[in-house]
Formats: sequence, structure tokens, C-alpha cells
Amino acid sequence: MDAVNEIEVRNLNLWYTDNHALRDINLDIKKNKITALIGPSGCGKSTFLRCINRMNDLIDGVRVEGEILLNGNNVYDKNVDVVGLRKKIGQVFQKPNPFPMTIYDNIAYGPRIHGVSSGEIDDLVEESLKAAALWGEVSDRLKIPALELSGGQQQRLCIARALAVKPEVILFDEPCSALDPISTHKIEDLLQELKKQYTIVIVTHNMQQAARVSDYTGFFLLGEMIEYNRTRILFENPQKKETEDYITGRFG
Amino acid sequence: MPRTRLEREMDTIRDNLQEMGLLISRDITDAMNSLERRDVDLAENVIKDDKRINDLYSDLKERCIQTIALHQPVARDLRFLTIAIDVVYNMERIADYADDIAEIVYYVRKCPENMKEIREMGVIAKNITENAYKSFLEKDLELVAVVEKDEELMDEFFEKIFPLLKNFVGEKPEALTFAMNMIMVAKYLERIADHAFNIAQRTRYAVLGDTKSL
Repeated sequence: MDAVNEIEVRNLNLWYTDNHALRDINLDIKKNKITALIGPSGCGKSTFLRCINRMNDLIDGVRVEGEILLNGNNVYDKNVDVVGLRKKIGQVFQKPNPFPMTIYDNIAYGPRIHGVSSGEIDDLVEESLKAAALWGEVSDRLKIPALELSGGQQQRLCIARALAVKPEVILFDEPCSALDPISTHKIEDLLQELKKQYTIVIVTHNMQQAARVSDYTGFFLLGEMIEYNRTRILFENPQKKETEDYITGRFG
Repeated sequence: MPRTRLEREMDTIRDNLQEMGLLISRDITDAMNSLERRDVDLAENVIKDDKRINDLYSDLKERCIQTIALHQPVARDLRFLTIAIDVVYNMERIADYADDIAEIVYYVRKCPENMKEIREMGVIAKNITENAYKSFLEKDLELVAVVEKDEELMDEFFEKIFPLLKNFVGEKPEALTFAMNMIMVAKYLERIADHAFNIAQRTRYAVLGDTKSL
């Protein structure tokens, strides 16, 4: 595990009221690498993902202990500006969720809020759509409603929207589960391009996808992270029996 | 139990591999017996078996590839299936050498000589082959160690065979044809041990995931 750590998670615990949903999670998320999180439904992987940009703060009854250090600074420090944090750590969700506005405005929305001048926005829109591999398909119709795009295009638009605010990390929560195989492969190819500039964490139920796209994989079970390893090792020769049982489908 | 179909496919592969192993092991014994007794009929049986073994090899390889494509196995299942392809390849090569030995019977039909060292090498070849495929099927690392030891023993025999045959021909020049053919047989037996050794090494990877054994 030689790459630089972008995020260091130390003794992270999370409770939903009395339900201890994450137990002593420790891991290093490497800069400019793709880290996949796998595990059965309810294992805590999405909860963990939402801890990274403090999306769990929005849920009543959630209590978090431990640290998540983004480049050395604890995102749970009291003086952390959560809006600024979510600018640094973008997120793309399971279901494409473009705003009900034009393609252009979807991208421009975030930068405008963060005070980018209107003169710079045209370039930013083009740059973000190109980085999300969507520019070639929409460059001549930026003013149409985003909801007219196909599901796969909408998801890439959401990625472009996340890129437009210049994040350091992008969290993907099942980004392809609502997409057909061709759109899925486009997103997977895109992830390989994006990791050159960004650190990526992806939650996926699709183990083949985790194996195809990621450099590191963490296996979660019942709120614990059972194994965290290079993806190649985790899928070829897992070190823990629980991991082996899960990925070979002999679980439960 | 989830993945029942994958389990079933792998069981079939194991059964077919076992059948192939039994056939090859019998062929090595028959090839060596036909050589010793100059039994052309027995040699003919070994040669005929080769076609069946080639068919088993093709079927098994195809089944492994199909299973990988359809079931997308990972971890121990993936290691088993990818290594099974290697194992059946090495077994098919072993069968080819048994076939080559059986063909030598036609060339030495009129020679009265026999050599106990060749006989002993034949016994090692049969044992090492059996232990190799069984080590894979039973994930038995102790058998892997036995195979590794027997391969060294086979090499030692092979080293001894040349001077022995040289002396033999020196004392008995009329045995030249026999001696030349025995050099071939010794080489085939030594190659059988090499392929068995390959199977054992791959087994180490299949069981432990140790890529150094690949």
C-alpha cells in the first residue's frame, strides 16, 4: 500500500440511535486511486460512504465517534464548514438526479453558488462536460432540459456537475445500478480517467464492477470492515474466510 | 446453498479430471509393461487411448472456459478453474509421453534386453502422475511435497541412465538399438515427471493463492 493517503479513517464508530451501525472502521484511502466498498445490503458500506462527506449529519439520531482525516484534517472537527467540505468531497448517487433545469444550468449551479464569475462559467461547463465524457453528445444542445437525456447521460451529467466545483474526492454510491451495460461501461471507463485527477470511493453491489474498476477494495459485513486489500488480491486470494465466502457466493 | 450450478459444474470437472487421471495412470503402467514384455497388443491399447484422452482434454478445457465465462467465479473457484486448465494440459502431455513409450515397443520387439532402472523410472512416473492430479483434486499439499521429491529422484535416475547405457553398449555392442531406444524412454519418463511437477506447483497456487508457484 504505497500510494499517498488522501483520507485516513481512524476508529470510526456510528450509531443510528441505539443501533451500532459502524464498528471501529480503520482504513487509508489512497490518493488518485479507486477504492471500492462491497458487502451485503445493510453491512454499513453506504453509511460509511456518507460519513466521509458528513451526509449522515442530516439524519436524526446519528452519532459518530472517531476520526476521518482528509489530508490530515479531521472532517468531524467542530469548526469544519460542512458546505466547504462537500465542495471538496463530491458525491454521485445511485439514481441520476439532475436538477429540473437545462444541461448548462445543472453544471453552472454549483460554481455560481461558490462565487465563480459568469465569465468563467462557459469554460467550466465545457471542461466539466468533457471530463465527464459527455461534451461530444450534448455540446450543441446545452439549453435543453437535462431530464431529456438518457439515464446514462444523466448520470454522466451528475458526474460533470460534481466535477464543476473542483472537488478532491468523489464518492459514488452505486452509480451504475440504474444503468444499462453500455452506459455502465462508459461510466467505468470514465472512472479510470477521473482517477488521474481525483480520489474515488465507490460503493457497489456488483462485485465484477468492483473487480474491474478499483485499485483497492474493502469488504464490509455487519458494520465491520472485514478485509481491506488491493483489489487483485481480494478477488484472487482473499485473506479472510468471510470475504472468501461472500465473494464466492457461499455466504449465509 | 447459493451458486449450486457453479458447484455442480466444478464437480463435473473434478469427476472428468479424475477419469482422465485414472486413464493416464493406467496407460503409463501399460506402456511400461508392454515395453518390458514386448507386448504389441498392450502397446496398441495405450496408443488407442490417446485419442480418448485428447477428447477428454478438449472437453475439460472447454468446460472450464465456459464455466469461467458463465459463472464469473472469483477467489478459490477462479483459482481452481484456471489451474484446472493448466492441469489438464500437463496431463495430456503426460499421456502423449505414455503413447510415445508404447510406440517404442515396435522398435525394440527383437531386443531381448531389459533394464531395471528403466522399470524403476516407470514406477516413479506412474506414482508421480497419480500423486500430482490427486494433489490438485484433493488440495493436498503433502502430496505436492511427495511429487517434488519424486521429481528430484527421477532426475537422479535420468543422470545415471547415460553412463549405464554407455557401459552396457560397450560390453554388448549388439544392444545398440535397445540402448538408443531406452535413452528415448528415459527422456519421456523424465518429461512425465516434469509435467507432474508442474501440476503440483499449480496446485500450490490453487490451494494457497501463492503466485510464486505459477
